[in-house]
Amino acid sequence: MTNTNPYGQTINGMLKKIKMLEAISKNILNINSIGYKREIPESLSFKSVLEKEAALRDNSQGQLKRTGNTFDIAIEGNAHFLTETKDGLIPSRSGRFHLNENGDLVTIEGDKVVIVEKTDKRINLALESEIKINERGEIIINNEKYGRLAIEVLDNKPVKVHQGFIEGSNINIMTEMASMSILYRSIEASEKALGMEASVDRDLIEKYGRNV
Amino acid sequence: MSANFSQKALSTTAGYIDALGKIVENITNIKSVGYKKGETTFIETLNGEAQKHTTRDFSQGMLRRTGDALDIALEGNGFFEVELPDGQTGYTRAGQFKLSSEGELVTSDGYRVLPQTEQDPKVFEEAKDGTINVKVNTPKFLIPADAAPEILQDGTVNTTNQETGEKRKIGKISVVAFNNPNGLESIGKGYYLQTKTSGLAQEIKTGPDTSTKVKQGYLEYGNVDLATEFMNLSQMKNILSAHFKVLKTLDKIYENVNFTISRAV
Repeated sequence: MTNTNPYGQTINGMLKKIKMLEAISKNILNINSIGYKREIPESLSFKSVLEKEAALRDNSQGQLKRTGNTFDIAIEGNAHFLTETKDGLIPSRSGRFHLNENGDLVTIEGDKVVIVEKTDKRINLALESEIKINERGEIIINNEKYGRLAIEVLDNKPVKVHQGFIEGSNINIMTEMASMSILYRSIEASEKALGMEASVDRDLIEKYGRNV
Repeated sequence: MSANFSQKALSTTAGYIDALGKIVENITNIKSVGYKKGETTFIETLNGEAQKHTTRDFSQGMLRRTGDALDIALEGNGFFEVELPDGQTGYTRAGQFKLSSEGELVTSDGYRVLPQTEQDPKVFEEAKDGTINVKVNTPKFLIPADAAPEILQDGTVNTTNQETGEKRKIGKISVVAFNNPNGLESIGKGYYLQTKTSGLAQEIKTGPDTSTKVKQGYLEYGNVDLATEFMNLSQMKNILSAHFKVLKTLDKIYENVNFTISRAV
């Protein structure tokens, strides 16, 4: 054999493919998650696989679904809400909010949503019935401004906020299933190659080892 | 490597199976008085699995006219206060009330409906031996059998004497709201208990000019929309079969790896 380690490359290839498969499975598992962005199953280098580098994300717009709930808020455009957690401000696009025991607007995980330009008036959101959130993210109660949702805009394009909608994931099940089956076949091929290399070695040892 | 990953796939799949159960519960309760539908939301966690969050949608259910004088529905935010058999205060929107054998206004399960009280219902009594007993004296809704009760939109209960035509105020139905109704603990049959996460019960204004109205002769049915539920059901089913495909693929990869490696040795 000319190549000293014929298995290494094939195994590396398989590892990368399994990493890609993980990304695809993640996409399929999160197809119904609010605000989920598709992970691009890209063949990363072996080094980055070892270092667990962050995967590439497809940040395109997810489908908006109408729910009609007052505190279901979806962002159209490249931007996100800011939420207060114990680790500081964290961006989020999952706009299914509700009120907590103190009447603060929180995400479904219980983190406070940052509201800026808040009025000094003591208003309990839970007891108000006419709560409107306009396209700029301003919360308007009985024609008076209550505050504005803090939204971090990531590019120059206009951003719109929609009340009564939630943003679904931007995953197309068709593409994911197709790429999963292609990838599976490709892993199978790598395995076949590995088996072939092994059997070549075994044959060589058996044939030439006999004479020794 | 992917051993950890199939675990994630499994837990997500389990979450979806729970979500299917919630949809079945919603469809079953479409005609239940005061039922609020359960919703399941999935959110991606840091490790890539989809975590499920179950919430209740407290939006208004459909009001249906029954004409029964003791069928009461709430239009808008709020809950009726009832006294549970163990003395705790429960909250409900199921307004299918009736009269008990003593002529008291009770829910369909026989729990007392609590009226609004102006003074503190706790009465401190000093016993002869010096100890102080606390007696909770809640006023009762006693409706005479021969009088027709009339319930106004602000929850005031009046009775009219059939013979003299004289109107008499009996009390006011207490309607309360919570900061976070999602934090209420459901104890079945449409009754809820206050918890730490729900916040305290706050009395809210009721009446024709406010957002919450008490309606006599109506019942509020479950806020379930059959078309949406069935759409979700079929979507969940398809997503679940996609998850099973993922699990199957991972399994096949294991199988092939074992086969190849065992042959190579």
